[in-house]
Amino acid sequence: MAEEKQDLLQLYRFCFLMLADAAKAQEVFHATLREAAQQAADGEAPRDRLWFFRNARWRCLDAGEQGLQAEDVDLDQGELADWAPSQIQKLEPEQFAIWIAAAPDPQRTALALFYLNEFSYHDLLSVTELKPPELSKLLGNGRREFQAWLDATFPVSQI
Amino acid sequence: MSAAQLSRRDQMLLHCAPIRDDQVNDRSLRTAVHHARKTAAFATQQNFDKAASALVQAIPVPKEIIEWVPTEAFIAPPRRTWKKYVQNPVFLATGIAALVIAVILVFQLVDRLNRFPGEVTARRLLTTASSTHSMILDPVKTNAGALGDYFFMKHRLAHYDVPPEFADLKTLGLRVFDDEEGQRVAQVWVVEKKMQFFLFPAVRDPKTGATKYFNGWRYVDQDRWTGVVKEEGGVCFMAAIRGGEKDLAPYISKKKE
Repeated sequence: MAEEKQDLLQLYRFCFLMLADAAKAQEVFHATLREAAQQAADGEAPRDRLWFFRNARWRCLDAGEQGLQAEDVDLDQGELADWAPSQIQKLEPEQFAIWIAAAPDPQRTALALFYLNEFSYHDLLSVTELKPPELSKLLGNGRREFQAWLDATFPVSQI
Repeated sequence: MSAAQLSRRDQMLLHCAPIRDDQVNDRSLRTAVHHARKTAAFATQQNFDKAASALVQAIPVPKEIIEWVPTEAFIAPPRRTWKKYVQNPVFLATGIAALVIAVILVFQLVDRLNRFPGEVTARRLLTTASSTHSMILDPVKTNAGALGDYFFMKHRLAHYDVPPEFADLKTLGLRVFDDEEGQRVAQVWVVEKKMQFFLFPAVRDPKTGATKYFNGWRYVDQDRWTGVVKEEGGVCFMAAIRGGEKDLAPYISKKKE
């Protein structure tokens, strides 16, 4: 049962990472499952679990367009540090969600899906609809930008 | 190996390396991870990703979310494509067995279609052809088409006629002998390609004595010799050559009156 519920939990967490807003995340989550139920009732059930994440992704992007928009600016980047895990442990999940939700898409989707720790490489490429070099660049830049933000938020001297 | 020694492709793939080993299901990615496993940079990245992933798993999930019907309930059962069937060992083994049986059946069918009355004699005469020297033949230099009268007049062999397809070829010599079954066989050497002709009685039904007919030309081969046989008027004619069917095909494809 716990395994069966896993996708539900991860789907909600994905919505939350994309929107950084619990109410909107629930709204998208419910809308996605309602559409799946409707399609199943019509005899056109989704083929796989990736359908839920693809569907939720576009709903999240739609919902995100109604609020503040992420600016596509070049953020500072830092080399990944050995002490990064200590910095990350000081964060609240909501802070990480806010940081991811602020990223421009498709980097936002790539980071949210990747850190769910739920998908294989091929799954990531499939849901993000990116080519391998694009996905690689977005994830690599995302890490370094996040490291720079961590260094600014939790300077090494405070760890 | 240091991170700098990794290929550009490996470095590109490593940025996408999943945190869990069981999700590394791509061969090139698995290779890249294997190359980078002992590098400090990759270890730092993995620790970074694990910490970030743990943070994501800590996102609180509202109670009503958990009460939803699991997503699996809405997912259509996977369709079994022909590729899936092919990859199934049971279907694979059955398919291979069926294919082998079909090939054997086709071979047997083709073999059966090629069989004809007199085939056994024809094979035996091919062995004779491979061991015969022209010196044991009576020298007769004429057109093969003229031999019908010669056989009838000298040996009282009726219908021992060379078919029109081979009638223009020049002969070197011939002989008439009794084979193992006491049948009168005529053997002719021709100039062209050291070809040999055999004329022998067609197979007869032992009960009725009626000739067992067959239509057209039939190929037969034995010990690198190939013959092409035709039945006409109760007598079989065989042109034999050291070679394959392709060496005889040009002769029998000729239209002759």
